[in-house]
Amino acid sequence: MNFWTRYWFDPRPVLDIAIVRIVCCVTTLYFCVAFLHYHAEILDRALLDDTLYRPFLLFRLVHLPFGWGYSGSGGADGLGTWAFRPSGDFVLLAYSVFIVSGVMAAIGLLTRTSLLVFAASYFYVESYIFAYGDFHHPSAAMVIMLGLLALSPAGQVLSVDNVLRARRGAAIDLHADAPFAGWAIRLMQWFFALMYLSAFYSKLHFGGLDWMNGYTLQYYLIQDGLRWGSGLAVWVAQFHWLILLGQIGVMVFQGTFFLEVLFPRLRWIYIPIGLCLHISIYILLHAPFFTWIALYSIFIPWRDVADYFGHRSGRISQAGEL
Amino acid sequence: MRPMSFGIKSFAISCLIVTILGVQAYIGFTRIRGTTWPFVSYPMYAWAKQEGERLEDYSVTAVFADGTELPDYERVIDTPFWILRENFVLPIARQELDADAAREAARVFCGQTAESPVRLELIDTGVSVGRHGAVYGEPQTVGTVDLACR
Repeated sequence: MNFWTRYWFDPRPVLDIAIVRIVCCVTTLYFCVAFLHYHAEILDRALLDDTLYRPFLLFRLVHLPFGWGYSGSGGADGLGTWAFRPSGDFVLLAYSVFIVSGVMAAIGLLTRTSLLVFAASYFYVESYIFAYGDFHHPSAAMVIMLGLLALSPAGQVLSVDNVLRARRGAAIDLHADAPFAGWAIRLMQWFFALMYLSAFYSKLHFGGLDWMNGYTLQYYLIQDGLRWGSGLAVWVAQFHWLILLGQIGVMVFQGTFFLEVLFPRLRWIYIPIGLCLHISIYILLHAPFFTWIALYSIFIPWRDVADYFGHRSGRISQAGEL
Repeated sequence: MRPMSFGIKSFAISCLIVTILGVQAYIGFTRIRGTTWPFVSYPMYAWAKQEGERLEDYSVTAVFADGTELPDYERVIDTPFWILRENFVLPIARQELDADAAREAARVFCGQTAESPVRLELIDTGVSVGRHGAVYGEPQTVGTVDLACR
């Protein structure tokens, strides 16, 4: 029990989780509002036929007071008799709440409440968008992270809340440690390790070792390159051996990423590689894993980095004075 | 600073930690697809491909009552790409729908243009993967759906 308590609940820097809060909120808002244009996506889906509406389990649980099934299921699977599909206007209202609470959470105003509302409204809007027979992976981990941040002291510093506390003479120092400031970050680090292990396992299960034959990634590069108009992906797809080596690298990275969580010093190897991987996936395949890139902030010891650069700049200015 | 003692709050969070990691581990390794979002498995790009394999790359040609054809019809209408692909294109290309179900799925194409098409043709663009990149072959019609828009 001692090890468990020390590992998850020993006091950790409040600066680390505050920076994660800001990075996650800003990225999520940008991703949904400016990049994916969720306003238009919601309107598009509101026009779709009821027969296409197939919400996930948790989304149906949210609507349980109003109905369990979905419109148009016709009762064939026993779910159609008590159906509910939210209107586009209602989802747009939830989307407005999502934006307002996201801005509040980013600046740290009523942080805990705004994070909770932000996470819940993000879950709601995303679940609606995914309720038509199609879903994507990038947002799942972010929804969970935002919910965990709401349960953490993520607004103790770098927040309007702390400015208001300072007026009462009770400000929290930027360098402070706090109990319960580390568990959410550690939990998401393990969650990331499980996501990569799932991807690794899926490749072994569906493709076996033959997955690393070079043609697999050439195929996906050509397919997504043609689909999304990425001439670079189609061009890169001609280099068979280079791609084969890249596929081996992906398998090694995903299969061993958990080592980074066990041995944090490895982060300086794994994090740059992971960032390069996700950025190149976006450039080549146009698969926008921006939320994962933002979530990589959980692997950075922000206070240590700030202290390191603070000391360096201090030494440089001292040398200048001499 | 003293280490934390294990109180009620620690116990509650510990339960949350075990639950979240347990659920993700179970779902991540049992390949349950999507229904439990945001806890999902991650089989992106997981299927092995071989030299010469044709891409799952399709386009839709709309045929109107007067016989005129409009290629790449999926780009003309408002329905998002992934919804078309999951509900219409792939099930028909893989012959997973019978004629009635295909007609039902194709209703998404109704009313999206001034005049609705009477028939849809699903075209395999004929591209495959080769050692030196894309190999462009002849497009083929892989499915035809008569459309009865109301």
